Amino acid sequence: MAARRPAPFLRGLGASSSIAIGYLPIAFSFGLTAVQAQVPAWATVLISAVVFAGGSQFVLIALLSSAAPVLGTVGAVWLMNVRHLFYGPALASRLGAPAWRLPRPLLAFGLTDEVFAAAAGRLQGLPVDERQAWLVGLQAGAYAAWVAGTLLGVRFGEQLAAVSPVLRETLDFVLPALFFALLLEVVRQTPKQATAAAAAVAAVLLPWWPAHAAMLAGMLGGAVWGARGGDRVPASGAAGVPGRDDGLDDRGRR
Amino acid sequence: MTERLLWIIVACGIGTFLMRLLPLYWRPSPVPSPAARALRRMLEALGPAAIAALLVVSLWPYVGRGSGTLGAAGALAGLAGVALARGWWGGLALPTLFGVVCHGLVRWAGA
Repeated sequence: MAARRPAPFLRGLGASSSIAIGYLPIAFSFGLTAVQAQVPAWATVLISAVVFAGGSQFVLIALLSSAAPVLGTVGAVWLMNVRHLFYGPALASRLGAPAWRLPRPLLAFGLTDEVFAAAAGRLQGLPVDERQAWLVGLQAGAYAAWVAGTLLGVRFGEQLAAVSPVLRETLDFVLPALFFALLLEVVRQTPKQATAAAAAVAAVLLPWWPAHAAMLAGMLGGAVWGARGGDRVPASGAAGVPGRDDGLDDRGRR
Repeated sequence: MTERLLWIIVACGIGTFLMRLLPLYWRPSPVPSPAARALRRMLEALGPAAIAALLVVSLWPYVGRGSGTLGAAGALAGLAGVALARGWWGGLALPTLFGVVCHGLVRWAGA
C-alpha cells in the first residue's frame, strides 16, 4: 500500500523545524534580556505572543527599561517592522490562485523575516491548493518555538547566564548564523548584485544610523537595484520569483 | 504602570500585525505595464535583500567599531561553520547550530 503524504499543514509544521531550532535560543535570549531589564515575566511572554517580531522585541525591552515615552516606544517598534509591508505582496503572488482561500489574518500573523524567507524559497515547489495550509503550518511551528523559547528564557535564563557568561554570548550569535544560512539557501537563485547592494548600503549606513533604519535602507536599496533590472534572475521558482504556479521548482521537481 | 505596559504591547502587536496583513490584500495588475514589471523585479529582489541587510545588521556588534578582535574572530568562525555545514548537510537548522557552536568555541578559547 502506498504511503499517504502528510497533510500540507503537517508538512509546513515539519518544514518549520529549521526555523524553530534557530528561534528557540534567540527567544530564550530575549526572555533572559527582558528579565534582566526588570520587565515582568507576564509582559515578556505577552510581547512574544502578541508582537512576534524578534529584533523589534529587543528594542522594545531596551526602551521599556529606559522609561522612554509611549509614542516613541511604539513608533520605534513600528518603524523597525515597516519592512513587513513588503512581504505581503511578494508572498501573495507566490500563493497563486487556489480553489479556496484561508482568511488572510491567519496567513499574515506569523509572517516573520525567517518565515518569509523560507516560504519565498519553497512555496512555489508545492501544488497551489496546498500552499496556504503549508504556510500556516510553517508559521505555527515558528510561533510555538518563539513563545516556548521566551517562556524558557524567563524561567531559566538567569540561572544559565550565571553558570556560563560565554554560553550567553554564544546564544547571541544564533541570529546572524540563521540569517547567513538563509542567505546561502537562496543565494544561487537570487539577483546577486541587488543582494550585494542591500548589504553594502546597510554596512555603509550602520556607523551613523540606528540599526533598524540602516537595515530598512539596505533592504530598499537592494530592492530598487533589483527594480532597475540589470541583474535579472533566471526564470525559476526560486526565492524572489513571483508568478510561477505550476507547482515545480527550478529543477522541475514537485 | 501595568496598564501602560499593556497598552504599549498591544499597540506594538496591532501595528506589526496590520503591516503584515494589509499588503496581502494588494494584487498586481494582470496586464504588466513597465511600472508593474519594475515592481515585480523589485519584489523579486526584496526577500534576498532583506536577508542580506538583516545579516549585516546582526553582524555589526561583532565587527563594528569597538567590537574587538575576539568578536570578529568569533563571527568569522561562526560564518565559516555555517558555510561548511551547509556544504556537508544542507538545510538550515544544522548549519545554523554548527555555526553557533564554532562561534562559541572561539569565544570560549579567547575568554
